[in-house]
Amino acid sequence: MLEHVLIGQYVPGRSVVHRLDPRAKLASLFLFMVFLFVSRELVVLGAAAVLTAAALLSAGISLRFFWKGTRLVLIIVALTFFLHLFLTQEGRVLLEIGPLAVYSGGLLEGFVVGFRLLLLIVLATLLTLTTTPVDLTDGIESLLRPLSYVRVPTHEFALMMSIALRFIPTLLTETQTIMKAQMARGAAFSRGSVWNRLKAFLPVLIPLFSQSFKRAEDLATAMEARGYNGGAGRTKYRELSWKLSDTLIFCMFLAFAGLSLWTRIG
Amino acid sequence: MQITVTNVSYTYMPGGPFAVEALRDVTVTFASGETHAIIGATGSGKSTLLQLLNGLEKPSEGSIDAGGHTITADSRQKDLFDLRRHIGMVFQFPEQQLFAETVLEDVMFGPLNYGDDRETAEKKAYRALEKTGLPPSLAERSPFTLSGGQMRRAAIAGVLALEPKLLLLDEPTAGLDPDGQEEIMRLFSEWQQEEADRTLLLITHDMNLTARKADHIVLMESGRVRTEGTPSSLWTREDLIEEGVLPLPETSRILAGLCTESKAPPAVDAFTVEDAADRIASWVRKGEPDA
Ligand SMILES: Nc1ncnc2c1ncn2[C@@H]1O[C@H](COP(=O)(O)OP(=O)(O)OP(=O)(O)O)[C@@H](O)[C@H]1O
Ligand SMILES: [Mg+2]
Repeated sequence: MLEHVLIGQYVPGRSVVHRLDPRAKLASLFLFMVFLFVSRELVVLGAAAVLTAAALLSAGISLRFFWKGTRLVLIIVALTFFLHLFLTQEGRVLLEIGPLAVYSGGLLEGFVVGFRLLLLIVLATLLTLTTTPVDLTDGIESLLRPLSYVRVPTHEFALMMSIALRFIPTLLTETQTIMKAQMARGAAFSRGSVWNRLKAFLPVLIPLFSQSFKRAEDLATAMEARGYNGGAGRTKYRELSWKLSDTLIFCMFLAFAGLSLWTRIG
Repeated sequence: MQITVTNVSYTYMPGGPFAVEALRDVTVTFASGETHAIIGATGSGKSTLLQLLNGLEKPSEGSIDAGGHTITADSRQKDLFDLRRHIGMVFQFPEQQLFAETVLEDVMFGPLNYGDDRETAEKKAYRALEKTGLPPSLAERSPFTLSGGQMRRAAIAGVLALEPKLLLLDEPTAGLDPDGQEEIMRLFSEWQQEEADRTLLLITHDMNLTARKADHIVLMESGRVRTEGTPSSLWTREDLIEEGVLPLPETSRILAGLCTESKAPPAVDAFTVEDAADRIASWVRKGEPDA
C-alpha cells in the first residue's frame, strides 16, 4: 500500500517537463499556487485546468500510475469538499438531512475549493515526479539566494530539504520492513478498535525513530569526515541553465497570473 | 511443516514504471523436518520468496500450501494471521525490530499477540531467552542498551517465543563475526533437532554454511528456481560451477585445487573439515587423487 505514495519520488524521463530548469518549474508553481486562489472566475479555473492538464500530458508519465499514486491524497480533497459543502451557509437551501443543510453556496464553494486543491496537488506532484531531488534543491537554493544577504541560512535550508526528500522513500521501505517483522510476530494493524490500531503502530514507530536518529548521526559523521563545512565558498558540480523554453513556460504562468488578477480587479 | 509452492509469480508495484517481476513461475517443495537453504545472486528473489511463504506478501499468481493453509492472490488477512502463528520469521538484521521497554516485554510481544495470557507468555519468553543463550538477568534491561550480538539474540528470542513449527531466516548471520555466526547457527540447529517436524529454511550467501547444514538447496536465478538438490548433488554439477552461479565452499575449493594440480577428475563433495581431511588422507595413502 505504501509503495504507491508518489511524494518525493522521481520518475526518470526526457520529456519537455523533465528538461525544464527547476527554477522555472518552481517559480511557475509558486505563481500558480498564489494566483489560483486570487480569483474564483470560471475562466481562471478553466485556464488553470488547461495548464495542469497540458503539463501532465506532456510529462510522459503513465496516467494510470499517476492516478494510483495520488488517489490517497484525494481523500484530503474530498474532505475539503464536504467541509465546505456542509459549513457554508449561503444561497438557497438545496437539501436538508437532519441538522445538516446543504446550501447552493456551499455546493459551489465546495467545488471551487476542492477543484483548486486538486489542481495544486497534481501540479506539485508533477514537479517532484519530473525533477530530481538534487535539481529541486539547487533550484530552491538559487531562488532563495537573495535572502542569504539578510543572513537567512538558505544553503542549510536547501540541504535539509534535499536530505528530507532523499530519505522519504527510504523511510517508507523501512516502515514496511518493520511492519512486516512485527506482523510476523502476530501484530495486526487492520483489526480491532481505532485505539487498538493506533497502539499497534507503536512497535513500528519506536524502531523507526531509533533508526532515523542513528542514520542522522551516521550521515552527519560521514559528511564531516568528507570535509563538509556549510555553504560558504562551495562550488557546484552541476550548474543550472535557463533556456528559452523556460522563459516561455514561465511567461505562460505569468499570463495566468495576469488573467487571475485582471478578473479580480476588473 | 511442509510447504509446497506451485507456479508462483510475484511483481512489486504492478502496472507502473517501477514494476519489478521478482518471482516467475516458481515451483518448489520444502519437506518437513529438514534444513533448506535458498541461495542465489543478490536480487534473485530470495527474500521475496521467504515473505510469500509467511503470507506477508501474497503471490500475484499461483498458490502456496503451508501446513493446511493455502495462500493465493485473494487470501484474506485473517487466514494469513492464523497461518503465521506456526511460522516464525527472522528478518535480516532483526535487532532493528526491537521496540519494547524491556527485553522481556519485547520477547513476550508475539505470544501476547496470539492470545496467550501474561503468565504463559512470560514462561515462553524466558524459555526462548534461555535457548538463545541470553542470561535471565538481561530480561529487565532495555533492549537498546544491549550489545549488537545480544540485540540479535533478543530479537531471535522474540521469534522463538512463538514456538513455531517452521522458521524462516533471512541471512541470519549477516554482519556477525565468525564466532558469532557459528553460535547463532548452532542455536538454530539445536532448535530444529528438539522436535522431528521442525523445519528450518534459510537464505544465505555463505556456501560453507550451506554445504555443512543444508539437507536441500534451492538455487535461485533472476526470479526463477535454477536448480535444487542435496549439497553433494549440486556441487558435483560442473556446468553450474563453471558458469559461476554456484561458488564452491572452502573445503571443496581445496579439493578442487588438489585435483587440478594432479590432473585428476574433480571430486569435491566433502563439506566438513573432517570429511575433506579424510578424503585427502585417502588420496595420500593411494598416491594421487582418484589414482
Ligand atoms: N519493496 C520492494 N519494492 C520494489 N522492488 C523490490 C522490493 N523488494 C525487492 N524488490 C526487487 O525485487 C527483486 C528481488 O528482490 P529480493 O529482495 O527478493 O532479492 P534477494 O534475492 O533477497 O537479494 P539479496 O541477496 O540482495 O537480499 C529485486 O530486483 C529487487 O530490486
Ligand atoms: Mg534478500
